[in-house]
Amino acid sequence: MNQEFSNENILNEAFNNFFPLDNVRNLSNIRKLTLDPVVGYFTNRFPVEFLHALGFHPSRMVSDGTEDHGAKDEYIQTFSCSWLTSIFESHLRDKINYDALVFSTGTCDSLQNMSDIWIKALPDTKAYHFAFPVRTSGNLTNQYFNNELVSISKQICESLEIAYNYDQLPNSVKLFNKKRLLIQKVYEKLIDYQIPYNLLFKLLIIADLTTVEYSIQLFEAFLSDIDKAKYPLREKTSVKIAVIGSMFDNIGLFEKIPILNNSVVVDDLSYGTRNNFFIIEETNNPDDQLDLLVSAYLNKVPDSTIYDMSRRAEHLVNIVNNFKVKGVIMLLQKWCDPEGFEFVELQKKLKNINIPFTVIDVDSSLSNLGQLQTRVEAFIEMVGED
Amino acid sequence: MEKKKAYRRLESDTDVKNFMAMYYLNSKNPYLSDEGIKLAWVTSGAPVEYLIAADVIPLYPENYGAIAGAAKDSTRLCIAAENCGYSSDLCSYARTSFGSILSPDPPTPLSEIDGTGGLAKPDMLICGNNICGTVLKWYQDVSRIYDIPMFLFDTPPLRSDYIPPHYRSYVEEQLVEYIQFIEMVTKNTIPPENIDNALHASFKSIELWSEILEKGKISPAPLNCADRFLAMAPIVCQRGSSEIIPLYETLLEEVNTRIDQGLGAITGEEKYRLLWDNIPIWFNIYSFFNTLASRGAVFPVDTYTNAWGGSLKKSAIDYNDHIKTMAQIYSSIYLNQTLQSKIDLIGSLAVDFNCTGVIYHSQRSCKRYSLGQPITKKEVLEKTGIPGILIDGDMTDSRNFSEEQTWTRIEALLEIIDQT
Repeated sequence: MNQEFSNENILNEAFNNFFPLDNVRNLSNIRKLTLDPVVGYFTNRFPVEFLHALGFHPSRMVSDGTEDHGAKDEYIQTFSCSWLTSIFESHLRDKINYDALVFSTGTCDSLQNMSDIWIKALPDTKAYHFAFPVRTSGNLTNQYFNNELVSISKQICESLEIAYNYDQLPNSVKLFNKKRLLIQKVYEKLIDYQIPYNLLFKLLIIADLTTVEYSIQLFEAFLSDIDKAKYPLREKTSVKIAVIGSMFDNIGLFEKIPILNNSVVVDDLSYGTRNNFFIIEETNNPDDQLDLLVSAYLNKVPDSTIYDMSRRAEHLVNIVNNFKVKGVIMLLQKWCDPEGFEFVELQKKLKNINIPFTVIDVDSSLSNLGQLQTRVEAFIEMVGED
Repeated sequence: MEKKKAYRRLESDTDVKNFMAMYYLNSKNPYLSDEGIKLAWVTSGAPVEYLIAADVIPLYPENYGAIAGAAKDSTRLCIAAENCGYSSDLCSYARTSFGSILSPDPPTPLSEIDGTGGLAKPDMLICGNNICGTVLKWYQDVSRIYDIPMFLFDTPPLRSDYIPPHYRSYVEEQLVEYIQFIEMVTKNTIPPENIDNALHASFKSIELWSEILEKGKISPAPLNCADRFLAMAPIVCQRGSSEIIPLYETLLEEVNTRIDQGLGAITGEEKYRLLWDNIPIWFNIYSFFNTLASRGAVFPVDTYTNAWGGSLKKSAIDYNDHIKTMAQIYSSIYLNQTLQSKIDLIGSLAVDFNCTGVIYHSQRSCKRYSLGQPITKKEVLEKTGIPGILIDGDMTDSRNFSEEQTWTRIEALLEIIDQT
């Protein structure tokens, strides 16, 4: 088979199978790729490699942009994180059958409270509560994180009758490292090639939903396409934009605003660089690998729920410089408190390096798309004129 | 003829007000720095006893939010914070705090004798995330604004009364670090006897406070919500100081006198005994509860003030091992527990205090406290038969409160109670 045809085929098949994201609801597309029990998780702080090594398929929760039909109102008020309530609303309507769900507690208040609300509303859920450390430094934090990971994983193994054995951890780490390296390479290509950002963003979401092996195939195919000059070189005068935010995952924002889709060269999003711009040190000893895994997760660029945002601020400045970004669009997810605080400081950092920015309020269903479009277009045009 | 007041004022209110006024005045004493006395801004769920033992003056931005709210001044400060880039969706205590720090306009005075307004500038920050995740980001920003050190006390949320060993050791080791942090900032070692004294004073005042709250079970209830919300300030701000013990002894005495004389907090007949859930609506606290008092509604119990008393188990106290004791207590804070534990507590309080209804203040500023209240309301009703309503509001931002909608809902609750 012709390689070019094969790449296009595999990528198109992935896009068609997983988008729109409602397609994920019955998990059948995921289960076609793996026989392992599917464990849903919410935040990118969860060391997926460990679950993978134990014989589970970790699959990140995504909001499918579903409109609010009010199913959730019986359980939770409107002022909770819009990303989370969108996921909750989908599950209330369609009862998605994960084999287990791991909630991240000790993160933001919306997610912490939701972990309790969820099991009241959907009592059949096999739910586990991973109390993440909010501190990021010190031996005691590493030790606590390690113990909590082991404790929760043992509970899941026991419940799903899987032997608790993480001998495969070094191999799992290698696989996920390979995936992240491929993703990093794709980002590097964005600087020079006019690659529509929505394609990368879709692949990032698919990568979090599906198996690591399949993700590697997808990113290799994508890179191969880029190398074969499928996408034109970026014009020297084109405006390079970064988007930043918390759990934003609605592809529609990019697809419906073409100028944004063609201008974004990098992001600081939970599903984007913050999830993929780190590599775990490798070793063949499973116990040592566990320690290295925990350290890597504690030291990676954090989401805003974590104490000490200096690494996040440093990451933002780095991507702005490395990707030659001329303007930043800050996506403030409705009712995302941690990001609301963090944006104030991030704005100061951007001012210090003379990078213009705009803050845009978004919700998971993009209910204000028309207004967003006007603002985004005006901002990119303004940046382009400077 | 003078109209009869629906509400009986506590004499010991004056003592509490004077105590708090002097406490805040003292925190602004220019001689403090000469004497090397340090100030700390502290969250309400942080182990303040070690600061008291180190002669550090703890100050509470949350209490400042309440003061600014009660003075009907917090909305102005919230708007000032929003003008500095903080989203209006964020906690209004935090916005009030940022408004007071960043606005060129004068901040709200802390008392009638406070000339400058606002909390005194701290030397350090102590942030415990056992009350919410918001304080983490709030204090992080204050730390940057003032360029001062911050200690983060991270308490993993509990799933039950049981504290797993790795949670316990994580929290205990942080308490050791916390003491070292205080000693580093103050450049003094904390004498062990000071810690012992602070713990004894803390538990004594908590015991007194719990006893005062328990008296609400008697009918007519000797205290109403606003009484407790005012009286709680010293135990929040100066827990661990022996100076607050006489205040609570006096209050307990007054409560006992009321009980002996058959006097309730409200002057009329107690037609409705209601439980209040959540932080009060500070900007209309008196008018709200007085209006209800005039309708014969009293609040003999609430979850907010109970958080500083009811959860303390004497069996948890081990004076020979303060680290273990404090790890247990501060991990078990009301807001660090599950929704089920909140449902259980509200249900049992409502029954024990003979309540006929519950008002759940669904307030957008405090997600940790509020999210899930629709379930609580439903389950408490199923479990106890006690009906409740949610009222939408905010603790200090008056823009998020609709008077008309609130009273319509309360009328509906009173009607339901009348029919049962």
